[in-house]
Amino acid sequence: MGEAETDDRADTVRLIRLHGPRLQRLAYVLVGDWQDAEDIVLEAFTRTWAHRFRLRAPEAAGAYARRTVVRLAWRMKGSARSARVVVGTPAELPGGDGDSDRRLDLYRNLMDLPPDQRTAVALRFLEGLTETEAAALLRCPVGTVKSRTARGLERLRQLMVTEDEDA
Amino acid sequence: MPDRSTIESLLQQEADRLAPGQPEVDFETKLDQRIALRARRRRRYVALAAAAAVVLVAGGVSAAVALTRGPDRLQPAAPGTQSAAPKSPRAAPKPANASILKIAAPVQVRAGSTATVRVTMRTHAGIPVVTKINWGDGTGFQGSTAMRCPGPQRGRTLTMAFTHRWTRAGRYTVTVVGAAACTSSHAAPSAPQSASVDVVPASTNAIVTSIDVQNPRANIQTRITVTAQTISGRPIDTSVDWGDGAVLRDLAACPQSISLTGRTAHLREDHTWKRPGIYTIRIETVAYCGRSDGPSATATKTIAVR
Repeated sequence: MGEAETDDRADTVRLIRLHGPRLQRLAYVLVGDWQDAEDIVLEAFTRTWAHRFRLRAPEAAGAYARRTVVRLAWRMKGSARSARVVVGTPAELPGGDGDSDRRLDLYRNLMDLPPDQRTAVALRFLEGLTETEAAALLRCPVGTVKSRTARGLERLRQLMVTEDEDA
Repeated sequence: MPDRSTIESLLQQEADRLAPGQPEVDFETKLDQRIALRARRRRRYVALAAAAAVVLVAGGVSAAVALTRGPDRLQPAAPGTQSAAPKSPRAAPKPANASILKIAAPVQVRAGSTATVRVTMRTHAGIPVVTKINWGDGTGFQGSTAMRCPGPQRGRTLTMAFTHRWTRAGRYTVTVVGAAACTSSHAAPSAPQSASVDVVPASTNAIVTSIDVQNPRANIQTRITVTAQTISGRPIDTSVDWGDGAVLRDLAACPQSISLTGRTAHLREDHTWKRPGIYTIRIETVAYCGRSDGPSATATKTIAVR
């Protein structure tokens, strides 16, 4: 194995360890299925690896992988090819404490948002991007990100109020 | 009542945590396997391109030799004389023979319901037509699927769909023969190709209509896609026996974390066979958590792992 290849391998491992779980979570929020999320993230890492000579800076590789995840998720969501559903993982079975119930409600409500609002909210708060960074990733004006985020947060608030009233 | 800032802080708290139920995935190993597969494909393409380049260069050299032999070689031959130059093997006309590339038949079908079988054929000249189908139950079709010929046609690849209804349960072998129509060259019939269909009792709740395994290779993760249909539309559990001793899921345990739902559902799983060989994949579908949604049937598919 050559020196350059060893460097590539180390960069890739670093990228996966740094961004893998976060991108997996982002993809899950966007498509609502862990298997699809895994496929998307793996494809994003493969494409990042294929473009590694253009993405020498670690932040550039991470941003490229994140952008690819969002695009692949939107494409997959548009095709709606998956009919597989998660009935419930062991962590989601009834009997959890209040904190896990609250977190589950948050994710469920997040996935009830329209795709554009969900993407904006996930990028802004889960991924921690600024409005400018999110706008650059989505290739839309900053104002669009602001309005989508605001509408998404308002919709989330309404969903959580409704749940409180039902409870 | 939560306000916007509360929701923002809730979301920000999630930024550094995994989502509930987030599975751990070994992306490093999976990416390594993908990279190895891409490298192998690239080596194959490079070898093919090199072979094509050799053929092109050889053709160019022979043309250059013909030119250096003098202008008389470029003159048209006098009437009544024949050129002594041997014909290039590439100049030989391609036969119009049709070949059947694929027969896509459902793995399982309920007795009395209509099944669709798709036949993909290719010809070098003329339109591909199916001339004979034997459904395996004593019925069949003989003739030609071409309605009219506007004149000699160029070769093409064509997929034709045929429907049939088996009335009794059992295992049937569908045999198809094709040919090239609308061509002036000699067209011999294609070699017969066959596919098997399991016809299950009409009351069977869950059936597997397709098992798709793409290019299975030893020590490389392979994706399998199973399509199942149910009458009830309620969730079903699926167990996959990979044929090498590994079984995907124990159906006796309940509740299962993942199941299929809907009248048509897809299951996608990955598996790695350690050694090349012939393996029989068995797909078992049962009603979720032992509910009684009607009987189920086990589907099988035999694959060759290279």
